[in-house]
Amino acid sequence: MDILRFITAGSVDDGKSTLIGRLLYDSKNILIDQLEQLERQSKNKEAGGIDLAYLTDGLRAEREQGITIDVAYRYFSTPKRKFIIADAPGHVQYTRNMITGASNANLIIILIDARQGVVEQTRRHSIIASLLNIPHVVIAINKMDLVEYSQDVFNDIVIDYAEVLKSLNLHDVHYIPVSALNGDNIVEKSSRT
Amino acid sequence: MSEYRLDYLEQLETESIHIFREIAAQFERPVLLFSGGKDSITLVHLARKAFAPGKIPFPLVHIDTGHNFPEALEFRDRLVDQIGANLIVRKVEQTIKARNLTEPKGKFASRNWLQTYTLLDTIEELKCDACIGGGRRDEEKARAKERIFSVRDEFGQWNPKLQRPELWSTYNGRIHKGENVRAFPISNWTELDVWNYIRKGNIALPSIYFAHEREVIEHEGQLVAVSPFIRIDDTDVILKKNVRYRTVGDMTCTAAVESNAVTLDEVVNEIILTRISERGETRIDDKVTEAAMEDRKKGGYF
Repeated sequence: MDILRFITAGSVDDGKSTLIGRLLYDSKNILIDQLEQLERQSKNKEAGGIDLAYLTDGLRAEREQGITIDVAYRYFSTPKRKFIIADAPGHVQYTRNMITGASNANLIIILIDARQGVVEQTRRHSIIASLLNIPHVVIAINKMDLVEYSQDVFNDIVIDYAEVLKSLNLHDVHYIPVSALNGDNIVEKSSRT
Repeated sequence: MSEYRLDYLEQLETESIHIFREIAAQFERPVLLFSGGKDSITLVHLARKAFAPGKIPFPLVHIDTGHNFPEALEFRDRLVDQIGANLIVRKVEQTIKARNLTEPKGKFASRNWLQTYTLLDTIEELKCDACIGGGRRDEEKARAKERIFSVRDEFGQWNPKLQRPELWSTYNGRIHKGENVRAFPISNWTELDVWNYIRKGNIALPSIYFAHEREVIEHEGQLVAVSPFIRIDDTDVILKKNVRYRTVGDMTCTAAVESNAVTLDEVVNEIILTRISERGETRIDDKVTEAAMEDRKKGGYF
C-alpha cells in the first residue's frame, strides 16, 4: 500500500469542496457522527438534505461566508491506497494557501464549471501546477447536470484547455465530465455522460 | 536490482522523523507535550528514532489537570525512566491557585479549558519557542486546517485566517520574540495509522486502551468512568461493563467504549469496523459548540 496525495483546484464556486465531500460520502468514508453534524449545519437542503462542502470548510468564517479560506486536509483509505486530499481555496487572495497544499501533491484535480469554461483561476492554478511539476492532472468539468450533460459543451472546454496547455509543462492530463452535486463520475461511472 | 520503496507507514514515519529533526535544528528550547495518550506515546517513539542513539534532545512536558487515569500516570513515569527522558510536570491545580481562577462546576467539571492557562504559563516559564504536539488533522475540522509548524502570537493565540505558506517539506520556524510555534509531526496520520504503527512496532500502551472491567455511568449514550472527579447523582445507575478507551484525556471528559478487545490485533480490528469518529465517540468536551476546537485553539489551546 502506498500514499497518493492530491489537491483540488479551480475557481471560486467551481465545486472543489463539494467534490471532496461527494468523494468521501459515496466511498462511505464519512462517519455517522460527522454526518449527523453535517445534517444539522446544512442550509442547502437540495443535495439530499446535506451540503457536502461543509465537510472540509472547517473554520467559522468559511462556513459563514460559504467559501474556503485555507487548505483543509482529509484522509481516506481503500485497501490499495491511503489518500491525502488537500481542499484548496479558489480565491486569488488565498493563492498562497493553495500553493501550500499543491506543493506536496502528486496529482491535481482542476475543476472547471461547465457553464463558465476556462477562466482566469483555471489558468493560474494550471500555471502553478506546472511550476510545481505536479506529475498527474485531472481536468474535471463539473456541473454537467446544469448543461444537460452536453457532449458539445464538454468538447469545447477540452479544446479551450488544450490551448492553455501549450505553454505549460503538464503532461499526463485527463478530462472527466462530472457532477459533484449529483455524484456523476465521482465514485461510480455515470450513465449520463 | 530491487527497487527501494517505503510502504505507507514508513512514508509517514519518515515525514515525522524529518519534522522532529527540523524542530531540533531550528529551535532553541523545544518541548514535547506529553499526555500519556497513544498519540504522544507515538511521538516519543518517533523522537527516539529521530535522535538515536542519542537521547531525545528536549524535555517532555505534562500539563497535569489532576484528573488523570492512574494507569496513564504510572505508564508515563515508567516510560520516562526507561528512556532516560527529562519530564517536567506543571499542574493546573497550581495555576488555579496562583491566578485565583474559579474551579469549574457541574457534573463533569472539566479542567480541560483551564489547561490553556497552565500551558501558556509553562511556555513563558521555560522560555520555550516550540511545543511539539500529537495533534492529527483527521481528528477535527479546525485541526484539519492547521500547518505542521503553526505560529502562535505572544498571547499564544492562533490566527487561522493568517497562516503562513508551508511548501514541500520546508518548515519555516522563524518567529518574533514572544511568539512560539506549535509543531505537529503526526499531522498526516489518521487514528488507524497510529494504531497500525503501534501494532507494527509493538509499542507499549497504558492498560486502559485494552478491554477491562470498570464501573461506569451512562450519560447521553456515553459511558463515563466512576471517579472522584465526577458527580454521581441519585438518578445515575452504576454499571459494571467491559470497556476500553479510544483516547486518553481527563477522567472527566473522556468516555469509554464497550469492548472485549484485549490484544492490539483485536483493538485494530474494532477501529477498522467502527463507524463513529474518535472524538465523536469519546470526547464529552467537543460537543458544546460547532467551533469548540477552533475557539480553544484561538485561545492558545494545544
